Amino acid sequence: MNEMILKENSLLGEKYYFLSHKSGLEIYIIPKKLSTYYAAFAVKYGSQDNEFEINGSFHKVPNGIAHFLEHKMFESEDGEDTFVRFAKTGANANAFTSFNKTSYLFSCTDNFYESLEILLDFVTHPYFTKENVEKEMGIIGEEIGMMNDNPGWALMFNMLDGLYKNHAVKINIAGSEESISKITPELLYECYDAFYNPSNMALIVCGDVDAQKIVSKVDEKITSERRPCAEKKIPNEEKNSNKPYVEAKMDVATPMFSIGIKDLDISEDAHERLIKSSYITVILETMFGPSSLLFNELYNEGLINGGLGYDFEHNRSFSFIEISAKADDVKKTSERIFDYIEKVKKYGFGEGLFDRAKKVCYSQIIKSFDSTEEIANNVLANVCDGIDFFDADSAMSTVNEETALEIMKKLFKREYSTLSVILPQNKEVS
Amino acid sequence: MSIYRTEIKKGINLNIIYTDKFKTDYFSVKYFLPVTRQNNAASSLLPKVIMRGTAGYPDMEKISYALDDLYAADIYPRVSSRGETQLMGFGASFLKDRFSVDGTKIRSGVLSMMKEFLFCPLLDNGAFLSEYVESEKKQLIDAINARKDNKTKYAVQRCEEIMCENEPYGIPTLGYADDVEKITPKTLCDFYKYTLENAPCEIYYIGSEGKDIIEREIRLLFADAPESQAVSCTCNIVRSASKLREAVEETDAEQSKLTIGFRCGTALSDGDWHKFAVFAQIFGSSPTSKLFMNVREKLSLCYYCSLSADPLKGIMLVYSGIKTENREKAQKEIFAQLEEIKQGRFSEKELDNAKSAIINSYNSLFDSPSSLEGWYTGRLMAKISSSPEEAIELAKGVNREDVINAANKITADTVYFMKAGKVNE
Repeated sequence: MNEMILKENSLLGEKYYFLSHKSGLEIYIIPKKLSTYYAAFAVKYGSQDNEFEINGSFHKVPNGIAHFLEHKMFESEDGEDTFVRFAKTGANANAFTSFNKTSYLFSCTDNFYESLEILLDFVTHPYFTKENVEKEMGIIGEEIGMMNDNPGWALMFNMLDGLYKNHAVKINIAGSEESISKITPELLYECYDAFYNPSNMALIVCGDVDAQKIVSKVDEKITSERRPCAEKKIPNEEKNSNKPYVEAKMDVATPMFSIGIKDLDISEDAHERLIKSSYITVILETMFGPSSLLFNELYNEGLINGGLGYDFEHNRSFSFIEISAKADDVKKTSERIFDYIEKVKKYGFGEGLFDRAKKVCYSQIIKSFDSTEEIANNVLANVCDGIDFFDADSAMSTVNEETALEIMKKLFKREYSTLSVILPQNKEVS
Repeated sequence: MSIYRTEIKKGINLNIIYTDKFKTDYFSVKYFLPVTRQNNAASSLLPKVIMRGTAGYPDMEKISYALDDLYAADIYPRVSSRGETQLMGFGASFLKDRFSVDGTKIRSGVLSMMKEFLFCPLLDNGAFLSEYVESEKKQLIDAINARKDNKTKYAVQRCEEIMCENEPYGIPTLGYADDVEKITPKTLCDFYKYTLENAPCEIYYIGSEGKDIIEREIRLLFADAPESQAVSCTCNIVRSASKLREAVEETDAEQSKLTIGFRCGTALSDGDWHKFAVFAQIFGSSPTSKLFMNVREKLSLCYYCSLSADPLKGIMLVYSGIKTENREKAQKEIFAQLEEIKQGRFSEKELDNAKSAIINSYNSLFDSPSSLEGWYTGRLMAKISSSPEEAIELAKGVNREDVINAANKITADTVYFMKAGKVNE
């Protein structure tokens, strides 16, 4: 049996155990004396993985199938609903699918090991039939309908469509009613076999737990040996955005916009990606955070309604930055943002602002260690990209202003960007 | 976990819950006002105007810098409606002093900032700055208009508003745009002074500092605050619906929303809410509930069919997103499932599972300071005093008869259908 590794971060006052299980499963256990336990059993497989190769054969599957599969994993052969199994332990179970992962999870305050057993069991026992696949079409169809009415969701996917020409990150996570109508039990098994392989999965547990006991449960439930994983296809992308502008009309009160910036400069080395993520975190906080010159100017001048949103994704497969807001005058406000970016390139971040933002980001890392759910999800998000979240604070400490400005200049180019706009039905962009 | 409560001044009370589990401490100050059109509009505006600038920190940038220096301390306006009471104030979450590497005293800094927000507003001749007031009025009116952007939430709010149109409960938390429009820098300042002198005030500290130290610090913080007349806030509980009302509104969307409002026939202040809570769990609060298992899983009509209840007001809303043509089917099934419980057609397993879920959710409160605060605030308003531990014991004692009785007290009041389609503008 492989050895369990203990890693401690004295500054955060936190530790975790890591074990690479004989099945290939990565296990992360973060002991934490809180009332709740949280466990996530995750597959490094998400909405973007629609084309893959396994055992020498190439597969192209319908959009939205990873999410469909997530729904269908709750069926079991004996007919007992998985939620009913969890209900006996009092645990609160759920699942979600994102671009690059599918995660099955539960939180509870009691009967933790019983719930863990259910989690390990149901995710490793698929049961798809024509009837249960058919039944799900209506349910997911309504989930898609609900998301289509969500302007924030539309704003983001239009932005991704503006950025990417080929990459499947631009495809709606749940697919469309049309694409999911092509899903069959056979296709679901095909995807399950390709990706639901312990070597492509991770178990993350946070709470007041006994690490050895968790490993014993895994030993009991997961007896397969390591086997090769499907190879995901990462499509070629050009550096420049697909389209500079995407517009849609919806029933919203005020126009909203999102500026996306595509970044193809992604390191193959996970730690280098963590370092770059730390840089992007501080750069965004400096340039667009509540203390930034830009936010205060736009807000004081009444150009934006509410806040200025900023977020990014940076992983092995894709990387982009997003800056969003609501504004009566989208054109003027978005141009102000582009002008400001040029100003920063020319004159720098402004006296003391970078170090201030760095302190803020650093404090936010410490604050994120107060909830079992938040800890587990942060670890999970990073694990799926080969990154150790417990290195986040030390990565943050290496961030310096000079390098940040260089990275910023390379990232923020108009030709890499797109402007996504959602307008009220009766409004034209001024 | 126990709560220590003490009066700081007439009408102003401090609540302390000791816990050493977190890296952050939690602190909040909230004023209680009766829900009225004017109070809701003004209370949604006031904390936002205050956070634009204080006497010591006259603009947002300076406030933001000060908070950054306190290791990214979070201080935010908090406005909500509970029952027919409008709660207004500020919440704060901040790192403990042991994480400060440069000697900054974080907690004491947060308390000073809180003092700025509560007692040192930026005034000009007995009025707030007109620039800040007008700018925040525009922001608030936009937020009011933007409620419809989130159809899922808006459909539930519209149902509550229609169902309670003749009760204060029907007034939206953010108020109406017309009432916001009428507010002036002077009337807002009068409202601010009125609040300090008349609204009951509840202060919460949830963290690891000793209670004597916290009590001393809070007494100091409120040293110059006026006593409060503590005008009482009540909630009118309508125990049953007279007849079933139907309302249909059209909306420009892909999915229609069906929301049904019920009168529970009981409320938290009656002392038997735990029985309703077990009923609600069986009926629609979980993925093993009757609504989820039937409206979603059996009939495939929706992605979500769930419920929420307001314990102070004693109402329950069942909500779902469906195709327009499935309206009758869904509505029929929701009522049929309620009838099942009224007739006692649920298993022992469903009863036990419901209790386990409730116990789990009450135990989870201890990991979230703001949820704990919410728990005790609700209890205070209902004038009952159960801790989560005590409520767990009550839930455990609920039997089949209790659930059937709780279900039979419920009456349907309003069916609200938000019909999807293209609306001509």
